[in-house]
Amino acid sequence: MIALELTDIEYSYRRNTALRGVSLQVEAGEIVAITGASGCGKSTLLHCAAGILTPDKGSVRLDGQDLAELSADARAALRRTKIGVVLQFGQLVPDLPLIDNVALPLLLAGHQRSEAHEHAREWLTQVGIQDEADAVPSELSGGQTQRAAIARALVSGPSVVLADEPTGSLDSRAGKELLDVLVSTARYRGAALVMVTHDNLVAAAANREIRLRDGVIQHEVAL
Amino acid sequence: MTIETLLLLARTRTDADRSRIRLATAALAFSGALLIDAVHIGLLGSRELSYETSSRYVTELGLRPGLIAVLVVLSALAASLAVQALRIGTAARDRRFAALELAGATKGQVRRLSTVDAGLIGLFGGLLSGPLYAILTLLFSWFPPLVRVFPGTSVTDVGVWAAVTVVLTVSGTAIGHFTYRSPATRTSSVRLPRVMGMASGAALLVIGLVSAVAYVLPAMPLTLAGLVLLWMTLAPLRIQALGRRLSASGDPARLLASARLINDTRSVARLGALLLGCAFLVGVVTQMSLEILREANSYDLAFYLTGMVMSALALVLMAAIALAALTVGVADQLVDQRRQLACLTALGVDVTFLRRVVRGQIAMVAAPALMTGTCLGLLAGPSGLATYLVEPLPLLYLAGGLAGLLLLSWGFAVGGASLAGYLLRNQLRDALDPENLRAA
Repeated sequence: MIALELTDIEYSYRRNTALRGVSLQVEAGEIVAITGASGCGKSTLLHCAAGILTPDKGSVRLDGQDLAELSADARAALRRTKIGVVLQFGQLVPDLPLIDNVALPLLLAGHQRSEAHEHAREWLTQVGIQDEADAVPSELSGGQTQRAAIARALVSGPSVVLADEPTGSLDSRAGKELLDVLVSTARYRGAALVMVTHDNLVAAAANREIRLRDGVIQHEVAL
Repeated sequence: MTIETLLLLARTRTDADRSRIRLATAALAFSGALLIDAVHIGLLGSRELSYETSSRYVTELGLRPGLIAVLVVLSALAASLAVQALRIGTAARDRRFAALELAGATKGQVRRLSTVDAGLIGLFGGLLSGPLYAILTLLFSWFPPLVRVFPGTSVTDVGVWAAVTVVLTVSGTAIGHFTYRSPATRTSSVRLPRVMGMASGAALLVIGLVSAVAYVLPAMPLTLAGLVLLWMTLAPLRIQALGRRLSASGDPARLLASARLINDTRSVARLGALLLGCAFLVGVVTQMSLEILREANSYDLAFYLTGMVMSALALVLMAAIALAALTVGVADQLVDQRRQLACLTALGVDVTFLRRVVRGQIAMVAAPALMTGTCLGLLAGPSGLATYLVEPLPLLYLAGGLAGLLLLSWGFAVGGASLAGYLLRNQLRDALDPENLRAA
């Protein structure tokens, strides 16, 4: 079953064309690494897939639903329920305790706080930072912040997890640990995982590597 | 989103945002206290009060409407300061909203947070306005009767306080709802000056100045409105140009200082316009005082000068709050740029140097607004143009008043900016801490 389908995506910033007709299909439970040099369009592709950016041309389908047909609010709701996003620096809400940060997608969806906290606590345990539930992001290490971001991305049970340089801000040991957590939790959920990375170790953990160059797919390798 | 979640997310815990909230709440409480006073005096109707307990501005029936008008103007000025404080887009707040949107919050949900945040500030401002009114009444009762413009408290004040609280809460909610801009859609660029704004401002200014010859009092609000409108239309361009000039200076600290001027041009320009408005009214009050002093024999000096000094002091307080709002913006910038500032430590930049930069950044915005406002107020006040044309003031007298006001307003801007630099010294020290190089 296809979880995520991008067809002929084009996207331009003011002067630069970032993506030139990229097409990609990701099966449910599959792990895909998108690699390439800086500025080749990797992050733009991920942001289009997440519905954060709207492509100039082409379509993004998530579980068969075309994002272009949805309103901004419906796209946000989709991001809350079917997509989990992990960015390089976690992008947690700076002044909220970790437990609330992880529970955020559930709270925004209207769940009661106690119920949302229960789920959040489970995921904090899953990623190994259950003791830090009451800490705020500034009290955490980079690795712990990223683990919290993974827990937040997975707490609402998404079918697709999109990770942009998830280990980019970490040393190799912490990066390896985080990768293990990300891959194992995505597998545990049965979610498709798409990772944008420069890191060979991250790419090696995927089932498939897609290399971008100047906004087009240069090659695709099954690993 | 449940109400519990709404309140959880609307409540912020960062230092810069707390300062913003404190400032807005204090300004609203002050505005509310003045409004309660105005309503209290209005409700006195034709009731007579003793000269021994209240100021003559309150006891004389004919003077009450004037005092009420002054109180309402001051209340409106304080409220507009609160609106500006609410609209300061702190970097921490922007990051927070961006993170919420990333986690799946809709734009409507984020707007609701901004609305609740502003509504709560309005509510707390309103709740504090009653006790503040009581404190001011008590405070003024220690002064001679001549200055007692807060004529005691009564049971009806409780009802007025409740009504003011409701008005401030509803206004805060409306302002939070209508002024919210998503960080993703906010642009830093300033459009070309809006021709309509410029033309209307210029027209109002000319009409105000010309009609001042014949219709002194009605002309003054027109002059003030024209001036503020013109300033708000043109100041963003000036501030951007100033920011760009600083960014091209080659001095890394000035380069950083230019960022706020370029990125937050509009709120800086609006605060500048408020300073200009306050300064204009100070100029008007000064001119009226000079006129009274010139005709000392035909006036009750103590009575008139007390009123003038009190009005001027209230306006100076407003200007001080506006300067505080500018300082909050600079403090926020320091937190946001701590990583870049920490890099400057390696280049030998120290706290003293950065304090100088902060001082310059605030003074560059405040001094021109204050100096322009006071000068124009002095020249275009109620007995200004009309009197100068018919019966010119001695040049030395006018020049002396003008020079004194210019010096005072420049000193106020520079002194306020120096004080801001001093108050921010710990934030500056923290910002320069090399430990920040590790901060993401």
